Amino acid sequence: MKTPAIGQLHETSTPAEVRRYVASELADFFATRINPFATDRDDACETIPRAEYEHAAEVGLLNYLIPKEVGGMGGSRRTFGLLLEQISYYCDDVAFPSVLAMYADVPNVIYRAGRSSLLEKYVHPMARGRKFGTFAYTDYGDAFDFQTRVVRRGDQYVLNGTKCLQTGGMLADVFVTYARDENDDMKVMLVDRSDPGVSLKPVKTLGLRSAGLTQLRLENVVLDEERRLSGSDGLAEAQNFLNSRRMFVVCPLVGAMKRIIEVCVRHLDTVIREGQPLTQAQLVQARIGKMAAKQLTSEVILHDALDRIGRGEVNPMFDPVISAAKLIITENGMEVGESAIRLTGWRGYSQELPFERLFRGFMAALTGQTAQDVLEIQLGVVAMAEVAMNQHKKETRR
Amino acid sequence: MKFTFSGTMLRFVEYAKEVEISEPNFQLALEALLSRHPQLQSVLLDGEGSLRRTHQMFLNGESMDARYYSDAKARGDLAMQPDDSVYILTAIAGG
Repeated sequence: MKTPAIGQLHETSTPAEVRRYVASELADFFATRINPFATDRDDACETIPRAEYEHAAEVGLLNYLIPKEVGGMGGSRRTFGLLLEQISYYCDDVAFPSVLAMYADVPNVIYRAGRSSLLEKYVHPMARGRKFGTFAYTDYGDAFDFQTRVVRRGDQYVLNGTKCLQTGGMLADVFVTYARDENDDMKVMLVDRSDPGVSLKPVKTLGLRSAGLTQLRLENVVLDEERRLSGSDGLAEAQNFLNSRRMFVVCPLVGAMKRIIEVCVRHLDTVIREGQPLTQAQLVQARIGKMAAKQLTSEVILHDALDRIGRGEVNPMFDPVISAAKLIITENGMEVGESAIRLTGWRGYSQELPFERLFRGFMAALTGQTAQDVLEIQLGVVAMAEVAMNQHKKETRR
Repeated sequence: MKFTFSGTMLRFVEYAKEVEISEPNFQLALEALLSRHPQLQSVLLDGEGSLRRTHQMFLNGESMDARYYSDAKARGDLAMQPDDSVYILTAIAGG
């Protein structure tokens, strides 16, 4: 079988190399199969069709992170992050890279369980784009108080509860589901869409309306031991996965910010006020400059964080650099989106330009992969702990 | 020695930021802590009695070795001095 062109990328590919790959191999796909339908799909809350993700598998995107020995490309998380960034420059619908990142990442969680039956049933089909998996973590309680419960009954498990929100749930065949057991341990269970007692409800949101967001309801869902993924510390496994995924949530924002600035400038060049294009007005130039500064700093922060991931320099449980990067890039994205609407007036506020839709899509990062305010608290706790520990070191040294 | 808590963990220790314990080694100190705050048991330890890796433990500002998470004997061999401090740093993220 011919190796997809994506195989030319490697763990140290530069952002420019990744950009060239996306421009030559993927831009047409977005221009013909995603972008023309983005506004209508958003209006109708219609999920991007399965065929588009199957295409992503054919070109090696969906299986990029899956190890080679089980049919994947064995690519690095760093380079995949760069791909998500560049894809979002060409792809007008941020839901596509968001769902792509989820479907591409979940097989590894299953792969790490190391069981051949799971590889055959889930990972191999996922590598070929025949099955999709998503992550069902968000619950009505916090991590120490999950309302979704799993109870052992003989050599089986019974699951009950509701998981609030899943990215790409509408097309998902399997849900990596987190539930609390009788000993308050968190267990990670694989729930198939077709398991008796499983039901899904579409969730309507402000943005990302084509991402197939769902609510997963579990009523006396009986699962065999084979479907249990975690050891005795499922919370640590969940935190590890969430920590490493946090960066993928904002990669699309950085490419999309660049796109917004370009579309905004091209549009303002055509708007004549007082005999001149609006781009000649210094107030407009200053605002565009501020937007460019937000985009460029986001790019620098993102690339640095991805490089750290590539070098393995991350705390697997809660990494302050990744978390700070997610926090700042999201805020920068919000400012760039809002500025584009301010500059373009009614056109930017309406569907005449894509800004209002992209801006609503960016807002998903305010809550996704840890809400911004919670991240601020966690970063504050970590910073204060460092101060307290350094103080203690100084005092005991005296 | 003292255990220090912050953020999410405070509700399990009745919002005491610091808990003073007088025991000769880390394992006994941990047992004394759990006996004083039983709610901590399932939060700090998993079903097999290992410290959950979600909590980052620092002894006098230095990250504690992985063996102290899973090996009760290693914890018992770790002598504690009166001015020692174990910081339990817990940053739980959402999905």
